[in-house]
Amino acid sequence: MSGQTVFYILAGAAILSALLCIIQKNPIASVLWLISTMFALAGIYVLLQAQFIAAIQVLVYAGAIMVLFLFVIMLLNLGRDTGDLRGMPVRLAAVLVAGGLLGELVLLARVTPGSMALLRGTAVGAGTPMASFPAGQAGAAAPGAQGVVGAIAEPLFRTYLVPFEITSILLLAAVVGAVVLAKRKL
Amino acid sequence: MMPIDLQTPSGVTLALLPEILVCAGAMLVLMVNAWKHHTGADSRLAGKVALASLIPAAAALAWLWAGGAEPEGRPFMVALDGFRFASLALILIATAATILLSFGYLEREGLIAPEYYSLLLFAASGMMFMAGAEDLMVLFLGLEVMSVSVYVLAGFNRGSIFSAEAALKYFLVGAFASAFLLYGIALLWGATGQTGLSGIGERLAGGELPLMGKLGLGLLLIGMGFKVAAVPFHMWAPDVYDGSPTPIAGFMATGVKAAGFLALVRILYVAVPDAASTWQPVVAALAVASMVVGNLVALSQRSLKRMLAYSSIAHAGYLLTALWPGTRLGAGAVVIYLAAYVLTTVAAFGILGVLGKGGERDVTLDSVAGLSKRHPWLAFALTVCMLSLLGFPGTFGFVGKWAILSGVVGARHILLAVILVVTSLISAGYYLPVIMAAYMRDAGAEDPLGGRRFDRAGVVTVAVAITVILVLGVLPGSVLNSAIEIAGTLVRTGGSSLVGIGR
Repeated sequence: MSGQTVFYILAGAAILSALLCIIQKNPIASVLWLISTMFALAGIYVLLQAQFIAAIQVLVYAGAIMVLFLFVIMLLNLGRDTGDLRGMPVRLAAVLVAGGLLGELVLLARVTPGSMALLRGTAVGAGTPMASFPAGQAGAAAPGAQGVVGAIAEPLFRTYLVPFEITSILLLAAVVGAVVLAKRKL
Repeated sequence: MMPIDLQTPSGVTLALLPEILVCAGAMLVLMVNAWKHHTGADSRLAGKVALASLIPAAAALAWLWAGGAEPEGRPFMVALDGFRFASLALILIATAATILLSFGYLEREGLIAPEYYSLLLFAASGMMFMAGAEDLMVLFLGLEVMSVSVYVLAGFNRGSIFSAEAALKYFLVGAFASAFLLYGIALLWGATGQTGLSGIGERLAGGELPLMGKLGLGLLLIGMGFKVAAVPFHMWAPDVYDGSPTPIAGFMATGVKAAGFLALVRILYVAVPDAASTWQPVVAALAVASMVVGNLVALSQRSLKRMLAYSSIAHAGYLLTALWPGTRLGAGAVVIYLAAYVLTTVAAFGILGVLGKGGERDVTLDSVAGLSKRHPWLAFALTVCMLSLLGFPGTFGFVGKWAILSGVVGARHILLAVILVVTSLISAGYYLPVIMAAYMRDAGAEDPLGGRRFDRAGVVTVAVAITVILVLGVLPGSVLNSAIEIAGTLVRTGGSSLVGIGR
């Protein structure tokens, strides 16, 4: 399967999940579809040779932030009208998914440094999706020279230093604002 | 001349010194809050620290400006030209005036929360990043810093449901607008492979704007249209201004609007000057709609605060007219009109703040009746503000309108000029009754201020603003010349004098 096909599958999944996230009535289902969108995006990052960002995407967005979302929704009791999750088919599906994950874990345990080296030897061809982006070829070549993390750190702390720092101010202002609005007694 | 290499961290630090100092001030205020946040005196202290922290920022700005800082090599992330420095100066003035007017207001309304001032400084830093951005990413992040802070400030009066309504409305509409803007930026990047404004300009030089670029520019204009409250993206403005604490409503009408327009000028004049034939009709349509709708709806308002909100929509129309030509005259007219508008609006909201209590929702024409008998100076200041907003000769507002007309007529768009003049005449229908009520109607037995007084900071702010409006209204020569000089650092083409119509 070429990169192009994989891209279209992932992009379709991302768009479909995003749509479902919006049109779902149940907030918990909505959040779960949002997680699915995040996973599809992580897949697209992998296609763009940005494995590090993909991992961060899964850890931070699909993991931490979404769990926070779910906690908020559950604590606020917004999802009171959840459907019954205790039926037999649901349990069966849960067991299947859990089994699949266990199998995946066992498979991953067999990955050795030697098998990784085989994977890393593959170069980025002209037909990959990344090449269609501006400066995509250079971007694809960068991880080879500096490693994936280095290829992110260099632009993040040099080229995009100013936007990066402004982002931290944005987060600080948002935290201050949230505290001001939420504090019981000012 | 002071070349600064923007590619190095030290160069960027120097170039961004005013912004960095304002942010440092905001954090300093937070530190002060950590120990002192209980009494009115603590709140006052936080305000003083915030005000004091604007001084080093202004000094840094003056140093950069006077030293003639310019980028070494390609411009990168932040602009370094007279236009940015003038933008920063305008924003610093609006922020300082808002802080000064807030002292008395917060105490009177019992809003003891010193975080107010740090949010104000964060908003100011966001505006500065936005107005001085050379890169769409910096512009967007600056806009978000500004917006997030102002959302909270709009809802600061937590005892009032109208304040909560204002914050929520502003937040929802603002998030919606940000999405448009971000999508527009993404499409422009897709069309050119650049996020730097001058990079986009070089890539598009001479050629036709591709469809993706047109879509991007359109979405970007919609996003900015929401932020500056241009018709048809204005629906949020009256309710939000109405519900917010008055100094914040003034801050939105001056700082937020100024930052939006300054950024818009930079985008249109630096990134897509060659696509002027594409964006000019859109800008003209937005301008005409804003001028007509803003002025006509303002006629039927009873509350002065809502009237000022609709008038600020009309002024967004005038400013869009100002930037329409895409020439140096156009950029100069935006600078000079914004200066006039910011000064006048700050003073107007300051006066409004002392006229009423409880969010000033109840201040109508009746509240100012007979103001001249009891408070002649306040009535005089109110008169000057209304005349300047109207564009009456002898006030700074007139100079601003003159500059706009000069630019538009110079670019041979007579229809736009005619609409501007006609709608300005219509605006007399709601500005003049305020003056008439203050001078010609009898006051009731009650004092219109009901015992409320300006504190010293408020008096000084309004007095300085009124003096500058009058002085520059009579002697506009130097300021017109410097506006053209400032605009010349951004645009190199088109006329060199704002006064010479038809020369």
